[in-house]
Order: sequence, then structure tokens, then C-alpha cells
Amino acid sequence: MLGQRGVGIVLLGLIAGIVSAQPNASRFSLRGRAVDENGRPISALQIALWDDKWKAVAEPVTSDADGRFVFTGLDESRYILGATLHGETIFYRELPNSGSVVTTPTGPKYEGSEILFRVVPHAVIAGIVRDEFGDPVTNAGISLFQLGWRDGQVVFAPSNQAETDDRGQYRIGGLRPGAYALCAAAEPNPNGASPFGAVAPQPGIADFQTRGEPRFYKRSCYPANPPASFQIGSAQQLQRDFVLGSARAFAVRGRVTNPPPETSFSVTLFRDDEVNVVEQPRLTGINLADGSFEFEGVEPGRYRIEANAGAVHAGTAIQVEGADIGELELMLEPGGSIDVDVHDLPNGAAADAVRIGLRSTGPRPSETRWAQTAPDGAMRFESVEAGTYWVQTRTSGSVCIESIRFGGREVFQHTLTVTAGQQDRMDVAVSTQCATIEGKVVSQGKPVAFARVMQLLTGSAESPGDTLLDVSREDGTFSTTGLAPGRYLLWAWSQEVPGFAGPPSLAGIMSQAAVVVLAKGEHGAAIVPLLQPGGAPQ
Amino acid sequence: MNPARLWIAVCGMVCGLVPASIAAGAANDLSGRVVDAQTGEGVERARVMVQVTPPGSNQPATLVVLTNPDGGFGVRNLPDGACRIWSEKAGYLGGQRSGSQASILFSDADTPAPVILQLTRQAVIEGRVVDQSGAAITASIKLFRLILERKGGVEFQRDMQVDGTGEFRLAGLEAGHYYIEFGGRFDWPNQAKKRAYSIQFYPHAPDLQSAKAIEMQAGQVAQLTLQLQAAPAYEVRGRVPAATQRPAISLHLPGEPDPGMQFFNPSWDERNENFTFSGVPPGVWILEANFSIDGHAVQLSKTVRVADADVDGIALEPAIDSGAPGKP
Repeated sequence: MLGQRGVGIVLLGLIAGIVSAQPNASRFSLRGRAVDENGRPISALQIALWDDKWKAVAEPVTSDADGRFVFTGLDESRYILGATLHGETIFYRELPNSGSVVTTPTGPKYEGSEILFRVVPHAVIAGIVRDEFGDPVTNAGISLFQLGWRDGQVVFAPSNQAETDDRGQYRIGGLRPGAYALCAAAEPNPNGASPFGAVAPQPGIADFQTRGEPRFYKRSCYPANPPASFQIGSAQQLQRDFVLGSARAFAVRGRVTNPPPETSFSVTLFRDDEVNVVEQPRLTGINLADGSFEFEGVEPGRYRIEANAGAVHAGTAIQVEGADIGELELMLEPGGSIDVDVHDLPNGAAADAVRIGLRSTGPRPSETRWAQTAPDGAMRFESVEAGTYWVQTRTSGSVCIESIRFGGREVFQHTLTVTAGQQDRMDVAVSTQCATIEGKVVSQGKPVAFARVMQLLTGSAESPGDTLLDVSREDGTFSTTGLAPGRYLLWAWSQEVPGFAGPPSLAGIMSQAAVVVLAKGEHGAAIVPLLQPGGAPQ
Repeated sequence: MNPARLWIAVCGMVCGLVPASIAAGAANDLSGRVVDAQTGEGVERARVMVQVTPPGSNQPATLVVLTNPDGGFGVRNLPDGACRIWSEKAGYLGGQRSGSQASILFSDADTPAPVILQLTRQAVIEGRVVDQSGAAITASIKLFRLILERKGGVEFQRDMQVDGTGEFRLAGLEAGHYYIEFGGRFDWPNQAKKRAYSIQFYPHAPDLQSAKAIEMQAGQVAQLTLQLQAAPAYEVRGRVPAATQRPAISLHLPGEPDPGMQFFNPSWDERNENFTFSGVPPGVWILEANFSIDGHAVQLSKTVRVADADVDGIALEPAIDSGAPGKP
């Protein structure tokens, strides 16, 4: 498998476990002690245990007066441990990424030892959104973004969303420690809210003839517009109120051309800043007959506008500043389609043993689009927007990629370009002679548990292609299997340093990378020094 | 300015609330007042939307003005044409919903008279959902309203999810009689313990017929404690033979699936392709599976009765007489 083996991290909500759980017939126990954030024992706490597929494996147990608990009759495997406190589930050894939990091993090596389960309530952020007159803003949208690391850079990833109630109040709970940005915006569209909720009113007697341009409530972010962020600690109860100021905003008008007959289309405006979210100003008009559209209340800033109609789409970046934008033309073009043929797959390999994806090479991180597998096993990319992409690969079952050819050239370690309407084929050759990296994260000579491990699979530090994020085990080790021959760069950093989500760029820490060069089928070792927030290894 | 002839169409319940003698000024000026429907007092800082569509245009222009401390507002120099006015304020029912709106046609205007827009205070039901020990629990709530004219008597209003604080708030309610259905969410430890919270109607009724209506007046805030009792729960196990891939399976109460009161994503045995729902309280449930065959969406469903034991061996298959693998 190209990825983590026995890493001990399970993605929340996903069924597929990354954990290599090969239970044997032996019976083992899991002993622990539940303590609060100050190390004091928590008694009468209900603690539950699941396997890596989220199936309860035992009846919940209750901690004793010293906080101690034990599960018995377990297989040699890895389990998910969680406690219910104040109506929420808190998992063992929670990391900043709320999408994952750390699994706990059982077996002869661990028998008799006791784990320390720090059960710390999640943080809560709440507040009130008011307008410039001090009145509550109802139905205002609250967006929380968590600072993370992806595709070679620090990014804000959407974390939670909330809406203010009739008192202008909001509350977001269940937050793990980390760096966040919080934004509030008046609801511009009539979805249970006033269609004019984002339009700031004029006080006093208004004059229709001299009314001027409408003013709209501006998005307000705490601590400031991204990339500014703030730190949320364990069990914190934060109050963050907002006052939405108003300002002149602008209209974006245009036409969608070349729509397929009898097909409706949609137009979406995205903020193209660090938080990179769909923020739909008031769509005041869309005419399916002539393709015209209009948004109003668009704050100055950088945006991306996209139109979609079935398998055809169009998109462009726009800058709004000081004036309306009119006569924007979005010409819909068919996407490309690519059949993916996998060659030399060994007998008995799973249908999803090879996954191929495309990730845009644009300056900002973008979602990887994975080829879809039909019930007959055929893999295909449909409606791929014209552009340049890095190929992403993931394999399992002792299979690795040998080559990927597209458009008459090798693209496994390179980028490829898809043109509008292109119909093409991608040939993927696989091998069973795969290389492996067995690594350990260290700091001052000692292993580091649960460190973030980043492996650069393709591309360069300046222009990362395919990157693999992993987490070290309790003993600081990690392993990656299913690798093609090549030169790999690895870095590691702590996930628990406040305000540090990862290196701002790989190019700046090139000299601190652990380098592993692997031949076909080779097992390589890597000692990866833990990076400090400043970028230097510890 | 033209002399004015005013035509008023008042929408919804407000027909009697707007003075019949509204007239536009010589300059198509408009003035008015937003008042509290219960007290008659002016509502300060209410938003008044004035939307005008000049003759020959299909593009309305909207002005949003704010009322003064007496609830008064005014707009000068409105063009001829159709004009719609409504008002909103946090804590009151939405201007369009409560009917406090007016439509005016400016053409041959006469002497203006102020428009009176009445805002009705919202009613609010709020409180906590707790277990038998008084501890807050995650829950789902459904709100129904008694509608005498309606067949069956009640109308579904909305649902909401209650987080671990147990606190809920149902705002924006009109005066009337309401019923609340509530159920604790099926948290994981209780699934393993084979206990779950049965679904109830306020205060402690098993069904709507024996539930107590909550009478709400305009402006009233009712504080409720919704208490749930943990009861034995069981497993529902089975398979979907027709599915070639893992299907999406859910278990919900009869009627429209309610996200808060249904089970989904059961545990799945890859080898035997069996599903297991845990922590299911006794009752009549609808089991549903969604998957695709040759690109065609297939939905299968079956009624499952859970009494006092696990239900095993369910085969969710298409009806024999349908001749098709399901309902596309």
C-alpha cells in the first residue's frame, strides 16, 4: 500500500481503516487511567471501545475512584478509545485534526502497561453578531477555519459553520486545540432569511432620487482578515462578538455562452483568498434563456467565478475593486475525458488496488479528483476541466506504480495537460516489486510520537506534486509501502505546537529534509528530524 | 408631481391593518410607522423595505430604511409605479410572514397618509433535553402545530438537532398550539449497552394523540424541560443481496426520513456483506437501501418491527412481483 501501515490513525466517519489489524486468537487487555487536564483522576467516567471500523467491541466500562479502567478479552489489534463527557465524545490522544483519532494497540508487548487517557473537554466559541446600530443580526453565517497544511503550504481548511439565531447568537462546540480564523457575514440570499439581510439600512428619511448606491454589510473576521489566526486551547470557552460594518459594494454581471441545448446552468462566485470559500453575494438575476446573470453586494477582493451546465463548465478569476464588473463572458466548454487502463495488475488484487487522481497545479491547494471506477472495473475521469495537473497515485495490496503514460509521454513524476473536450487514454503500468520506507521521527535523539510526517512523492520542494501526509506511531516510527523506485524527501513536525501548522513552504526547508533513495523492491530507512516552528531541525 | 391615485392591496392577514385612505404626496412621498401589534407602540430600528417597480420596468429597486425611535419612517421622491412595503425586526415575526406588508400603486396620487405596518412579536419555546438523572443529552426535536382546518389536525413545522448542552430554542413562532416530538440521539456507548432513548411527545406521551399541546401567545417565551428515559434497545441485522457494492442503508421512522431520528451508516461485515444497526429502540421502522446497478439508482425498503429481541436475517430484496431490481 502506498501510504501508512500500522500508523494508528483512523479517519473519523470513514469505514476504511488505515490500521493493519490482524487479530490473532490470543486475548489481551487494555488498561488505562482517565485524568482531567490537571492530571486529576476522573471517576465514574463512561469509556467505550471500538475497532477500526467503529464497531463496539465491548460493553462500556466505568472508571473507578482512581480513574482506572480495563477492557479484557481483546484481540491483538488496535482500538479506538473514547469517553463521554458532558454529552460529547472525547477520544484518546486527540490531535488537532478533528477528522482523525489515534488508535491504541493491544498485544503481548502492551500487556500489563497502563495508558494515560487525558479527558479534556473540547473548546467552545460563542458570541453575538450585531449590526452597526447595535441590533442583533439574525441568520448571519459564521465560518470557522482551521490552520492546516496541505500540498506544500499552510492553508485554512473549513472547520465548522454556524448561523446566528433570532438573538444574533451563535455557538460552535467540539473544537480541538489549534489555530483558527473566524468570520461572520450577513446572509445575502433568501434561504429562510430576509433577501435584504445583507443590505445595510439608511437611517432617517430617505430620498429615492438621491439614494446613491446601496451599502452592504461587510464580512468581518477575527482576529483580522485571513491569514491572521488565533489559538484555541483545550477546554477553552471563548466569546467572540462581531459588529458588521457596511460599505459600498459592487455588482458583477455577465453572460454564460455556449450552453448545451435544454440544459440549465449555475453560476457561483468564490472568494479567492486564504479561506477560499464559496461566498455567494446576492444573486439578483439569472436568465437561463439568454445566459445573463448578476450578483450584487460583492465586496472588493479577489474572486473566482464559475459556471457549470452538466458536463460543460467555465471559470475565471476576477478582481473587484471600486467599480461594477459588467459584460463578463463565461464560455462553457466541454471537459476532457480520460480512460484509465491499468496493466499488469496481479491476480487477486482488489479492484481498488490502484487509484489515480489529478490535482490542479494552480498556486493554491485544490482538491484531488480521483478517477471513478465503474462496476465492471473500468476507471475513467469525466468532465475534467482544461488545465495542467499533477498525477496523484495511491495503491494497496503490495502493488506500486511503474509508469503512467498519457499523450505519448511519461507523466508519473511530471505534470500533464488536459485540453477542452479532449478524449484520451492513460496507461498505468504496475509492479509488485515495491519499495518501502521504514522511518522514525526523532528530536534530540528521542523518538517523537504522533508527529506529522510529510513525504514528497513527486515534484520538487519548490513545486510539490504528490505529497503523502502521515503520523508517527507511539514509538516515533512510521512506514510507507508500495513505493516506486526513486528519490524521496521527508520532513516531520509536531502537531501540537500552538500556532504552527507546518512549514510555510518546502523550498525554505529543503536542506532539513531526510533523503531516501530507493531501488526497485528496496527497503530503505529514514531518520527524520523534527522541525521546529522556525524551520530548523531539533 | 402628478396628482396621485392610490391603489392598495394588502396581503395576508393585514388587510384591515393598513388605513384605507393611504395617499401618496405630490412628490410620491411615502411615510409611515412600524408599530408593535400587541401594544401599538412604535418599533425603533425596524428595517422597512420599500420596493418600487417603475412602469415599463421589470427590475424593482429596493430601498431599505430604518425606523426612528417612534417607529416612523419616510421615503421621498418615489417614482410612479407599483410599490411594495414590508418591515422586519429581530424578535418579531418576519414581515412578510406575519402579513405586515402593503402594496401601493403610485400614479395619480392624492394627499399622502402614513402607512402603518404592524409587527407581531414572536413566541419562543426553549429549554433543555435531559435524561432521567437530569444530565443534558444530545437529541432531536420535531415541532408540530395544531391546525384545526387541516386533516389530521397537526402540521409539521420544523426539526432541530440539539447538541451535548441539551439546550434548544425554537424561535419565530406564531401564537398557537404546538406539539413537540423528541428523541435522544443514539450515542455510541449506549449502542454497545443495548440501551437507547425512546422517542416521546411532550411531556411524556408515546404518541401524538396522548401528547399535551403547548399553548403559545404572541411574545411569550416558554421554558420546557424535555426528559427522556433510556430503554432496552436491539440490533437489526441483514443483507442486501442485489447490491454489487456496499449500499447506503438507513433505518428511520415511518414518514419522511428525519436526519436526527434515523440510523444510518450501520456497521458492515465485508466478508459476509451483512449490515448491523445497534441500539434500535422498539417500534416500527423503515429499512432503506440505496445503491446502483449498471448506473441506475435503486432504492429498496422494508418495514421492520422491533419488539423485545434483536431482528436478524433480513434480506432486503425487490418485491417479487415488480419484475425489476427495485424502484429506480
